[in-house]
Amino acid sequence: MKTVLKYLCGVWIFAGVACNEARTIAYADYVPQIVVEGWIENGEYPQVMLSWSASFSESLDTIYLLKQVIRSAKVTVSDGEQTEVLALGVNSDYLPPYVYYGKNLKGEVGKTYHLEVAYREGIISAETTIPPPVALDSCWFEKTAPADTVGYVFIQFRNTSDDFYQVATRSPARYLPRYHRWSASQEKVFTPCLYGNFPAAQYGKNDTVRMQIKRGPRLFLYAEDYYAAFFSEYDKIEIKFRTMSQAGYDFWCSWQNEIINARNPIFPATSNLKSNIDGGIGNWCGYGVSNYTIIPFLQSAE
Amino acid sequence: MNEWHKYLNRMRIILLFVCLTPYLYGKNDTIPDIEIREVIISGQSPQTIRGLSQNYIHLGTDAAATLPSLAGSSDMLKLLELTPGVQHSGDGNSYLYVRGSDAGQNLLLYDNAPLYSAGHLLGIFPLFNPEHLSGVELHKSEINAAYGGGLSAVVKANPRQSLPKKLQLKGNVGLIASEASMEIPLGKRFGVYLSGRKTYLNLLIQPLLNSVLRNSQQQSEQGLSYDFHDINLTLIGQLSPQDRLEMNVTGGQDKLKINEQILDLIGRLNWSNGLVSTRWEHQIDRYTLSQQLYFSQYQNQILMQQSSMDMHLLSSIREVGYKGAYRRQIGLVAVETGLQYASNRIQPQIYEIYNTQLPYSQNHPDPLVSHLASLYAEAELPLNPQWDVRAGLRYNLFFQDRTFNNIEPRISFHYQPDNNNRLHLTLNRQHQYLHLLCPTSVGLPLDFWVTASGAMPPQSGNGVSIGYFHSTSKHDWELSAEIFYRMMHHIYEYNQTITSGNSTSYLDNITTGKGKAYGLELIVKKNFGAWNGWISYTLGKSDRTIPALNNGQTFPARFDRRHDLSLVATYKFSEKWNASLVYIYATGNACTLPSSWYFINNTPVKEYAVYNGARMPDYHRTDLSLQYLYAKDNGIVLSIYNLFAVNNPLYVFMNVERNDKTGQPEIRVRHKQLFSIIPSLTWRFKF
Repeated sequence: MKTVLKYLCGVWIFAGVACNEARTIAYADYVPQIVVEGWIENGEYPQVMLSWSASFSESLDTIYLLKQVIRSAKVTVSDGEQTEVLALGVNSDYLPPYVYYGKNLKGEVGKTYHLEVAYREGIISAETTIPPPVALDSCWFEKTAPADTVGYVFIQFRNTSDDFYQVATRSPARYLPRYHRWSASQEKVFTPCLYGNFPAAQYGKNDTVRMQIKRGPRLFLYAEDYYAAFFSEYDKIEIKFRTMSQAGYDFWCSWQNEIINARNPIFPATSNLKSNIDGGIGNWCGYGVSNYTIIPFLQSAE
Repeated sequence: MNEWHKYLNRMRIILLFVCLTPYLYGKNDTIPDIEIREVIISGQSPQTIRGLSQNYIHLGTDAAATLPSLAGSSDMLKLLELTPGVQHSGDGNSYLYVRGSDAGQNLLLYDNAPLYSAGHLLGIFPLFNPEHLSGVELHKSEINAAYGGGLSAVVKANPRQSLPKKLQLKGNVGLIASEASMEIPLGKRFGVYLSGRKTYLNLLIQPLLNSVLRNSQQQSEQGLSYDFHDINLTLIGQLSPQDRLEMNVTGGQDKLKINEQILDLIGRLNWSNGLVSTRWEHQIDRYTLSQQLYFSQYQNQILMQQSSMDMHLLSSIREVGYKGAYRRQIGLVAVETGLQYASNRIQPQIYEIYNTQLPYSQNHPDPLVSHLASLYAEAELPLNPQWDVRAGLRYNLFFQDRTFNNIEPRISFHYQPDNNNRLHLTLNRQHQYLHLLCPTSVGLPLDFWVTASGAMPPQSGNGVSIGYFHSTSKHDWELSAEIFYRMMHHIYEYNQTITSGNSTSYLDNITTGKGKAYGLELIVKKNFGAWNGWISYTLGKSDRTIPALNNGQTFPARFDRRHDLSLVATYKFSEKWNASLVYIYATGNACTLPSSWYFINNTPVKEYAVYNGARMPDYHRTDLSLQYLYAKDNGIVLSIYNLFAVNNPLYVFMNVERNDKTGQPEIRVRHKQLFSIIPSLTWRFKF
C-alpha cells in the first residue's frame, strides 16, 4: 500500500508541475475583413486608408504587414454632383503608410459624401455629412503652479452646434530652449483627447463652455505604457476642434474605449468599434473643423 | 379589471390549496408507515459533507476546518465548489455558479434571510465567518416551495442554533487576518454567540493586488490599502418549552484605496452589507409555527479622481421582509404552508463624471421600489414503503412598474427499495425578480442589483433532474449520480464600458435572451478508515442565446465547464496529526478574445469574434494542509494554496504593441495571475 502511495505521489507531483507548462488558450477563429479609415473635412480633400484586419495568430513581420495593405482598390467619393476617383499615395506619417487622396473634390459644410470602394469584385460603401464647424472663443495653456514645466490646455466655445464635438490634438514639435531650436516629434497625426468626444446636447444651446482637455492616449507611438495626459510648456500644440455626426461620435467613443480599456480588468473592452461601413469595418467621417495652435512658452494662440 | 379578477381567482385557488392541504392529507392515515430520513452513522470519521442520500449537500464547519484554505479561514461557499454541479469559479471570484447558472441566480440565505453581498475583495476572505456558523447547505435539485426568488440553487448559511452551555472563546489567528467567536450563556434559557473578523496586514495583500490593478509593470503604486472587518451576533432565547426566539445581526465593511501618481489617479472603493433577522418559533406536538422579520442591505461606492476628472459610482439594495410558515406532521404526511412578503428599494448604478469646470456626464437612475408577496404549500407524502412524493406549489405576486404573477410547481418522486439505494425524479419551475448586473468579471464590488420591471421581466427557469444514490451496507462508501437539464428565459448579460457612461443608462448596456444548461454529476465518497474523502465530477454544458449578442448565435456561458473534477482526501495519522489534500481540475472559462486587429488613427485596435468564443487555460490547483492538534480544538494549521504554483490566469490580455527595439508592431499575450503558491499558518484556539 505504501509503495502504491509513493507512486501516486510521484505521479501527482509530475502532473502538477507538467500542467503548469502545457496549458494554452483556445482562440476564436480569424475572419479577415476590409478596414476603411477615411475622412473629409470642410475645405480639405478626402483621404482614405484601406487594409485587411490581421490575424492574432500570425507573426508580424514586414512582409505580412505589407500584405495586409490594400493598394489596388478603386476608391470613389461623390457628393451627389461630382465624383472623384482617389489616387494612392505614400504617407509615412500613417500606419499603414498608404493613403488614397483626392485632389478635386473639397469638403463643403452641409454636403453628404458617398464613399465606394471596389475591390476584388466586392463593393464597400459608406456615407457621411460635414456638419457646420464651431469656432473656439479662446484656447490656452495653463500650469497648476508657476514652477511647473507641464500643464493642461483649456478651451472655451459657445455651444451652437446640434451635432457632436471632438477635440483632437497633436504636438508635432518641441522647442529645445538650451539649443534655441525646434525638434520634430513623432506625433504626426491628431489624436482625440481623453474624453474628447461629447454631444452638443450635453450643454445648453448657446451656452459658453469652458473645459480642460487632456492629451489622448497614443499607445503605439512611444515605449510601452508611456502616457501623460498633460503637455509640456515647450510643446507646439495643434488643436482641431471638430463637429461630427452621431456615427462619427459612436465610432470614436468605441475607439477610445478600446484604447483606454484594452487592458482594464474591471471594465474590459470586448466590443468591436462601431462601424458605419457597409461591407467592411472602420469609419468614413465628415468633420466641420476649426484649427488652432498654441505655443505655451510664448502663450499665444492663433 | 380583468387582470385583477385573474389574480384574485388564482389567489383563491392557492389559498384554498394552502388551507386544505393539511386536512386532505391528515385524513389519509392509512398510508403504510415509512419515514425516510438521512442516515448518520456514528463511529465513522467526521464527515465534511453530508446529505447526499437526501439530495442536498450539508457542509459542516468543524470538519471543513481541516481542509486547506487560502487565508487560513475556511471559505464555506468555495468549499461547496468541491461538490458536483457547482462550477469552480477560479481565483478572485466570490460568487457561486451552480449547474450552469450566472452570478446572482442562487438564493443566498443567512438565517433564512436573503443576503446580497458580493463578498470580500477578490475572494481572498470568505464571505461568512466560519466560526459563527454550524454549517452550510446547498439545495440544487429539490427546492422546497418555501424558497423563491432564485433561478438556480438555494444556499443556506446557518448560524449556530444550540444554546451555549458555558462561556467559551474560540477562533484562529492567521498571518493576514484573525477571527474569533465567543459563546456567552445568559442563564439557562438565553445565550449569545458573538463573532468578529479583522484583517490587519494589508501590506501583504499589496503584491496580489498589484498583479490585477496595475496596467503596467513599469508603473508603481504610490499607495494601496485594503481593510475589512465584519461582526456577527446571534441571540437565542428558549422562551418556553414551546417557544424559541432567535435574533441574528451580521454586518461588514470593506475599504480599498488606490493612489497612482503617474496616472494622477486616486480610487476609493467602499462596500458594506448588513442583515438583521428575528425569528420566533412556536412548537406544539406535531406542528410548528414560525414567524420571521428581516432587513437586509448591501451597497457599494466607488470614487475615482484623475486629475480634474472625478468619477462616482454608487449602488445599493435594501430589503425588508416577513416570512411566516406553518409546519404540521399529519400522520405520515409532513405539510408546510407559508406566506412571505418582501419590499425592495434598489438604487441601480448611479454614474457621474465631473470635470473641474462643468458636469461632464451623469446618469441618475431613479430608485426602484418593488414588492413581492408569495404563498406556498408543500407536502411530503409517502405512497407506499418504497415510493414517496414531495409536491409543492408557490405563487408569487410581484409589483413594480407592472405586475407579474407566477406559479411555481415543484414535485419530486422518490423510490427507495432499501436503506442503501434511492432513485429520484425532480421537476421544478422558478422565477427571479431581482437581477444582478455584473460590469466586471474580476472580484471587485462593482456589481449591482435591479428589480424586474416592464423593461426587464422576471427571469424564469424550468428544471428536471434524475438521480441515483447508493451506499454500501455499512455506509462506508456512498455514490451519487444525477443528470440535470434546465431551461432559462429572460436572462441578462450586462456589458458596460467605462466610456459609455457619458451617453447611456444601465438599461442601454443590458441584453436579454435565454439559456440552457445540462449535465451529469457524479460523486463517490469514502467515510471510513484513516483515509477518507470524495471524488466529484461534473460533465456539463451551459449556453446562452441572446439576439443582440454574437449575431443571435448561441454562445457558451462564461462559466460553461465541460469538465469539473475535485478530489478531496483527508488522512488521519493520529489523534493529533492529520493532513488534507484538495485537487481541482476544471475546463477554462469561456471568454471573449480578439481574433484580429487593425490600425485606426495609427493605433492598433482589436476585432472581437465570437462572444465567449475563446477559452482560458484549464484550471488546475492542488492544495495541501497539515494540522497539529495539541489539545482538543487547539492546534496549528499549515495550509498551502496552489502547491505547484500553477499559473491560473484571472484574465488574459492580447494586444498589438510596439517593439521598443525594432519599432515594429508585435503581438503580446499576457496572463494575469492572481494567486500563485500561498502558504498560510493559522493558530486555532478554544478556551
